[in-house]
Amino acid sequence: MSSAPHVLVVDDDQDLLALITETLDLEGYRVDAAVNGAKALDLLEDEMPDLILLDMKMPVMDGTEFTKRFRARHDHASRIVLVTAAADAEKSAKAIGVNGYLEKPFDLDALLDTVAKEVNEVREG
Amino acid sequence: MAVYFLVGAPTSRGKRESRIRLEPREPEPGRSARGPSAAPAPASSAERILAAVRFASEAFLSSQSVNKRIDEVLAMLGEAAQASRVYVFENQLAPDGALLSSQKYEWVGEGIEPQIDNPHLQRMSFNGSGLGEARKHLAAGRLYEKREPDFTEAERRFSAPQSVLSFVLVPLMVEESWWGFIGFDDCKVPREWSTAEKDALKAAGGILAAAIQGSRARSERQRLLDEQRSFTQAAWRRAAEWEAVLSSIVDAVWVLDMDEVVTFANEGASRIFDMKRPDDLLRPYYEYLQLAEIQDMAGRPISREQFPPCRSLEGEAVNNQGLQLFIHRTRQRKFVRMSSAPIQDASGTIFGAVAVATDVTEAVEFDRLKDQFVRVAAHELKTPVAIMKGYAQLVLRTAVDLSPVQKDRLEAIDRGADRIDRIVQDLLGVSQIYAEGFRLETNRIDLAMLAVRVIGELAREHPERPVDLEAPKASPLVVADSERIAFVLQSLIDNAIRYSPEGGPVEVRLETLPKGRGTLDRSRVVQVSVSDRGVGIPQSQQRRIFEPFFRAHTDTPYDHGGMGVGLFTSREIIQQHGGEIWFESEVGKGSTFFFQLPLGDEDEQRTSRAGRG
Repeated sequence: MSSAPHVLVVDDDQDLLALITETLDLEGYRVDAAVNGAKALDLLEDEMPDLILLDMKMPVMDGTEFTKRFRARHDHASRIVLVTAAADAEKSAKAIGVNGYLEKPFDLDALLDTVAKEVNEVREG
Repeated sequence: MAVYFLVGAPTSRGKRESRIRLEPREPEPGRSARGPSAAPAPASSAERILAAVRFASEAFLSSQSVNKRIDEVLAMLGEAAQASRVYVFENQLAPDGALLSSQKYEWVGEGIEPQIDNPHLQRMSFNGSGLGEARKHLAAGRLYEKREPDFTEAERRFSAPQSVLSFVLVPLMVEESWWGFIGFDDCKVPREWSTAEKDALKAAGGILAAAIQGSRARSERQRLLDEQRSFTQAAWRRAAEWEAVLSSIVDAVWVLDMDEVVTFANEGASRIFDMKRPDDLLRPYYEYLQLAEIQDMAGRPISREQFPPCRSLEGEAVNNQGLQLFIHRTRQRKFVRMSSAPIQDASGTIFGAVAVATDVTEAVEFDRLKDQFVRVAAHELKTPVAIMKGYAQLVLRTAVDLSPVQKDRLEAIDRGADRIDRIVQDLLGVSQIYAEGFRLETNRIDLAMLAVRVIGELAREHPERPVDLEAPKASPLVVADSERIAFVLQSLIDNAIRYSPEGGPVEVRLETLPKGRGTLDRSRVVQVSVSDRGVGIPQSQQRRIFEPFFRAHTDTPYDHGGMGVGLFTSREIIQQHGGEIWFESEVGKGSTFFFQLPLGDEDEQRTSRAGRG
């Protein structure tokens, strides 16, 4: 029997971070939260989540830099989905080399669909 | 044979006393011809006349005009020929074309009545005055002489009042045409002139005619010189005026010749290129390419054929073409709007071009700042909207025993957040039109795939409203900016859904046509149409539908919010792609919006092989 899927949410906006973690928690995911890329990398020393939901614009370490370092250190150990307000989300996602993207603002259904789809990729792939 | 020189000052007309003496030349060399000499030796009349002719030629040669020396010359001739009266008549044409003659100069001998003030001798007709016979000879260049008793009746009537008993008239031919005549009267005896004398008189006529011709040429030359001087002055003054105007206006002005060399540039031009002096810009066009990179507003390099003044050398007038200049020396980017026109001579032949440019850098930079502000503000709004929306939805999902009223309130928060998001989208859409220096990021894109994506996104928002897509199996690739075309598709389909609240199909149709509409009538096009069976657009609103901030359904049951910039933005985007956009609509039946994008020849062959999603 497999444990509950593990998601790491990285966002410098405390309210949005709380919204996403609460939502996923209520859906039965195991959720960790970090307020920037550096904090997220620290958390990742112990355990690799199935999915990382990553904000783009953050102080200390932004999404681009985080992805670069994560890939260097852990390769594709976790899938990464960008949660972004950028107008050209698709383009940035491609440029950074992440697995998917979710545009802000989003419906909770869209959030849950995206997470479920990505986690399935991990579990089935 | 003796040669005679004239000494002393001759009398002028009216002076009755002559101080002229004729002196034979002394044989010894070195002796002054004008010095005192022995008593005058008699000479023949013809010789005396010839001496006077020589005097006349020297007098006329040393003088600028006939007028100044004519009186002296006539006196000299009159004395030498021992005539009673010597005179000069000039021909002139009456307004009706009749030939008239007027006395211009006269000398009279002692005791002879002058006729210079005789009104009958002004503007007299040859035939009417009795000189019809004379005219025939004179006009043919022949000398005419008459003496009593051989005068015709007419000649006698003419001569008698002036007590003339004989006259000889010598024609004056100027520039090979008959100008007038010089005449010699005798009032004492009906004199008979010897052949030698008449030859001498003809020589006198020849000298006088030559002098008149020379004087006339001189005055003509002088007139031309004066005219040239006044033209030159006027041109110089005008040039100075224009130079002052051109150097004081803010705009840049260049003039190019047919070799594409700049022959004039003003201060404004040197400001644009950051040069100290306008003269530094007097160089061939191709050297400008070393001063600056010349690009269009989207930053694409401009070829010689696209550069306005070069186009004008081919005859084209260019109005307000936007250009970017990257000045190498100062590493500054400038934006200008340039107009140019050919310069033509009177026959319409182009011999140059003038170009005028306005520096709009500040305006463009201000525009960019404004767009940047809008983009940043819109971007920053997205996260708080996501939080509002997300928590409203989370409470709706998770709270147990919500009352219907509480549920409505939470849904209103969610909808409010959606409306803010719509405004944010609109703002981003407008600011994107001119973002990044008006640059479209074009790629070969598959319109059908793009439509599938957009329809998919809208399906999440309006799950109850399916959108039909009809597209050929192999849809052509167009060179376009996919994000912006996606915005257009999104706006058109979203409108179609919103303005057909009763339902009814929304259909998106994609097809290629051999030629397009309007400006695309010579190009293959891909056409996209979006149809609904909705409320339609009232006739009165149709004209304004593409205006920014215009919302046809404001304060009607179909008002769904938004800023009214979706269609405006869409039109701008399509036009930037060189396409056409229009619509057909009828109230109560629905609307169809169309747009067409040009297809190059290449696009036709490289159709999409990618599958539909």
